[in-house]
Order: sequence, then structure tokens, then C-alpha cells
Amino acid sequence: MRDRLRAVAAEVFGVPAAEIPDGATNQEIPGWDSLRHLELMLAVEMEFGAQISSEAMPLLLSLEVIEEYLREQNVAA
Amino acid sequence: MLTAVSPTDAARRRERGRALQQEIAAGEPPDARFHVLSSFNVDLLPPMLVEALERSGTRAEVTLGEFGQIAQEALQPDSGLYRAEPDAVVVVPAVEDMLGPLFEGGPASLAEGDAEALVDQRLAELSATIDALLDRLVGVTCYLVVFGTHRAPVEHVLDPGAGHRGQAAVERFQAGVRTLGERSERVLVVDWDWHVRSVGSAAYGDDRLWYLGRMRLAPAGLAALGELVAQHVAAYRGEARKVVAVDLDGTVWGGVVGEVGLQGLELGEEGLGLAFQDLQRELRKLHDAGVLLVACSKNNPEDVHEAFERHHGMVLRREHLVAERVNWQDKATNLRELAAELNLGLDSFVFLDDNPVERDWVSRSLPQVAVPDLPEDPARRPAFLRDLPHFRRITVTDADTQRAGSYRAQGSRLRLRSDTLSFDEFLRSLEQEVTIEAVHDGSVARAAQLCQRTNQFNLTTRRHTVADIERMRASDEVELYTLALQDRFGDSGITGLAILRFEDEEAEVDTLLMSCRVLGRRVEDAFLSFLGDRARARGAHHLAGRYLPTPKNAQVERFYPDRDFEATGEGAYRLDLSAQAMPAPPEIALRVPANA
Repeated sequence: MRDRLRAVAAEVFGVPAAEIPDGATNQEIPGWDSLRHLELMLAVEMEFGAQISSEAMPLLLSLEVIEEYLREQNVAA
Repeated sequence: MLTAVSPTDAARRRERGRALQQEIAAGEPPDARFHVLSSFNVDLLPPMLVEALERSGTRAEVTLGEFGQIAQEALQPDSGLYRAEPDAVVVVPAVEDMLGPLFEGGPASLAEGDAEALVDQRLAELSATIDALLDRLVGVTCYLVVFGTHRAPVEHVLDPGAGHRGQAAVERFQAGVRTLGERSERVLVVDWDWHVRSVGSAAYGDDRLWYLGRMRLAPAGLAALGELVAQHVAAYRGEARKVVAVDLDGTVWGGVVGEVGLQGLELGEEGLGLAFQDLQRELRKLHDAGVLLVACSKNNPEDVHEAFERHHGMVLRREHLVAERVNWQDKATNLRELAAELNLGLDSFVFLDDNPVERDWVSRSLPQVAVPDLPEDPARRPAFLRDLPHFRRITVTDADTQRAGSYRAQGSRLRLRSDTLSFDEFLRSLEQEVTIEAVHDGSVARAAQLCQRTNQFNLTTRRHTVADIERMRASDEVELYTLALQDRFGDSGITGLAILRFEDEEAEVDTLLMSCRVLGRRVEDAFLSFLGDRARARGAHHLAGRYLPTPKNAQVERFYPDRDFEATGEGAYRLDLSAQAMPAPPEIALRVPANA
């Protein structure tokens, strides 16, 4: 799941996947601003067929946290 | 109609749009700069709009104003809008934002009559905003989006007329926005509200994006909006095709007339016959909007003529056809001949045929012809024809509605020409009368249309838009004239345009073009003679002209040298006005403006 997430994020932020390390948060990734964050949330929903609530969206600020959330929602990797 | 855009399509378009944005930023200057003023957050729109515009032929750069600041941007001379120096401005005033108090508090929170007053006040503001923008940006075109909602202010009151529901106020505002297009030729109304009906505006929104980002459209909605704006831009640029060539058997009626006979044709009010009749109705509407209809059929002419004249189910009549090729030749050859007869390029043609083999043959041999894949099922064809992009135009002008008649009259003229003894006699027999007028409010749209559509007799092929022409009209250094031609067969309407620029002691012909319908009759000499007179009247010593070659205008390559202009290099020519008289051809009566 992590690699698929990384690929989605790389596409949204327009950076190579290698530049998004596992633990990195929005503070460390160039281009991960509030607008791109919403785009990322929509792209993740599309990729995994998931629904992310508006309460969760502002909190999912690293790949790890997003993955954790998706697993809690029982989204298949 | 706007076809549905899925979230996956939207993601693909955004991706491609972003790549295009980088490419355009790094490369040649864009064709146009678009600035978007919206009442809500459309930060995700630019790549979508860039992508849609590129697909319809415009490489554009897109900038955004601060959302919710439409009036501020337009009214402050130092705003981002004016710094962006746009060629086009897209204005998106969502009704829910514009009528905020009505949606937030509900109609009950307003005193009686206040909802209406609010609507009128907001419309007046919007209209003043647009006026300011048009005024300050002389060359700009404004695409005004009618952005509605699927929610009434109070949705649980059901009666649409109930004041407590608030729907009437919403509709009053939307209707008002639609009429703002009447303020200027440069305001084009983009009716998102209407076009989104087939999909539903709810499908394009996402309440989470509204609360987290004040966005009223999800990416799929933004992609659809970009697409709709791009369709209007293309239609405004006049890229509509001029001719529809239709097959008959199996297309205009069901069955093969030569085999089943008149009575065996499927055509009329019964069953599927209605689908064929509806297709004819759509063709008839295209005819009425100025698209030329021609028939291209493998058939015996007698059978076809009998069907046209005697079948009770026919909506199309032979008089709707400007030309026909009913024979056993291959259709590519027929289309080539039709193009020559009408004096139009094959890239003006759309070919409709139910037979995929014929379509394949035509699209392989004549790649310039648009060959849509007509659905196999006749029931799907009327809607298919309605949604074809090739005929989209912003509006219908008088010249459009008169076009078919004018082409038919040309057929009679050609026949007359072959019977006549000498060319001079022929010209005299036509009783031609040329009327030259300065471009005025009523002819600006036609003048721009000629710039967009004329390919062959066009010395410089400069695609001036309404906005460009307005700007030139405002200048003292430029004079713009239209030419209309009448003869004993009828009135061709405005079929020529000339733009003259004055600088020091030289008058330069910026644009000289004429519709092919009036060529070969010395009308062009009458026009040039008039331009010479204007140049002299303004004290110019020389008349300068230019031939800018394109793939289509070879016929005017020798226009200036054949008229004793002296070549000054690189397609530029010059005539010494003191040495050359340039009289108008004697067989043409010339009416010119009184002040000229």
C-alpha cells in the first residue's frame, strides 16, 4: 500500500517518488500545501476506492498516517 | 451539451494540463492569456482550462484572481486582473455567493420585497463590474459563466413559487446574468447552468471541498467547466465547418430507394421512420443557421428526385441543398468536385454516411474532411448530430441565414456566365452595385466573422476578433470598411473587409479580404480603388500592401504586382499614389460613405 500511496503523492506534487521518504510530513515535502493536500486526498480516494471524511482530511499529513487511516477503514491494500 | 467528465478523466486532464503549463511557460509566448475571476475557490482550474483550450486549438496561459473579489479586481486599476494584461477574462459569479444573505438566512430573514431588491442590486453591481472591465481592457473578451445551484435557499418548502423557498429570486438572478451578454459583443455568456443539466450540478460538487477549501466544484466539475469555456472560445474564433455533405439511402431515409421504391422507405411519423425524419429536422436546422447542405449519394438521380418531390415524410426539400452529386462515382471524387463548385476548401466539409466503408474511404482519401462515426442505430443519430462539435457557433447572423440562398444564386450566375458572349458583357449584365461602409456597431460581428473564416482571397489572413476590431475602430490611425455586393440575382450582404492604417505619408493595407462568392467580377478592383482614394484623402503618398502566404491563399499571391504595385521585399508592395490613378472598374456602380 505504501508504494501505491507514494506513487499517487508523487504524481500530485509533481516530484519523483524517491523524494517522498516514509516518515516525511507535509512540512518537509515541497509542494505539499493546503491546495495540493486536498488534491492528494481526492487522488487517494480515487486510487483506493475509499471515502475520507472531512474531519480526517486535515489530519492526514504523512504517508504513514494516511496508510493507517485507510487500514482503519478496512481499505484493501 | 456537455458530455460527462469522470474523476479519472479529470485526473488525466490535470496531469496533461500541468505538463502543458510548464511547456507554455518555457516556450514561445502563448496564443492568449486568460484571467479567471470567481466568487469561489477555483485554484485547481488552471491546468484543466489550459488542457481544454489546447485541445480546441488555443495555447493559453491562465492566471487567477483572488476568489470572492470579482468586483474589487475589476474596479481597482492596479489589481491583479490589470497586471495580468489578459486577452480574455472568465467571470464565474456563483448564485449562492452572489445572493449570500438569501441562502444563509433564508428568504424569511428578509423583509418582503428585499429578496428581489437584493437580486437587482447584485445584478447592477455585476453589470457595472463587467462594464468597468470592458472599458479598461479594450481588447478583452469576457466569458461570463451562469453558475447556478441545484439547491433552493430553503429546499424543504416544495412549491417553486413560494416566497419561503426562495427559488424565484435565484431564477431571477440567473435570468439577469444571461441578459448581460446583450451589453456588448465582447461579453459571451457561458450557460454552465444549462449545459450541466445532463449530468447534474450535484455530481460535480463535493461538500467536503466546500468546507475545507471553499470550492464549489470538484476536479471533475472544473474539468467540465474548462471544457465548456473552451468550446465557447473555439466557437467564438469561428472554427465551425461550413458544409455538411449527406448520404441519402440509409442516412436521410431508411432503406435503398432504388430497391424498395418510394413506398418502401422508412421515413415518417411511424416507428423508426421518425428517427430518420428527426435527423432531417436537425439537418434543416443546420441549414437555417447557415451551414450549407449538399447531397452525396450513389443513386439514380430520378429515384432521388422522386423521393424528394413525392415522399410525404420528407422534411428536407431540394431547395435546401446548394449542390448535389447523385451518381455512381466514388464519394471522395464527388466531394472534391463539390468543394470546387462551392469554392470552399475540403476542410470546410463534414461528411455524414451510415456506411462505414464509405466513411473509411472518404477519411482515408480526404483527411481534411471531418467524418464522424454515425451511430449504427438510427434512433441515436438525431442526438448525435445535435452534439457534434463541428457546427458550434456563438450566434446566428443575417449573413448566416442568407448564405444558402446566396450560394444558390451563384449557381445561376455561373450558368449565365457560360451563355454570355464576352466577360465584359457578362459583368455588365450582372448590374453589380458595390456598397462600401465604415465598420459600425451593426457590422462589427460580421467583420470579425469574415476575418475568422476567409481563407482564400485574404492577403494577410490576420484573424482579428470583435475585440481587435473594436480597438482599431477606436484609433484615429485606422479605418475599417466593409463591402457589400448587390446584383440582379440578389444581395450577397457584407462579403468584403479592408483595414487601412495610416502612418506618416503611407497608408498600409492591414487586411484585405473577400468572400469567394464574389470573386472574379472586378469587385476587388473597385475596393482597392476606393482604398487608394481614402489614402489620398488622408494625404498619403503611398499605398502599401503585403501578401502573407498561407496554404490557402495562393490565388492572391500576384494581387499587388498585377496591379502595378512595386515589390519592396518579403511580400511587401507599394504604389506611388501620385503616379497611379487606379480608377474603379466602369461596369460596377460604387456607393461609398459620404465623408469619404
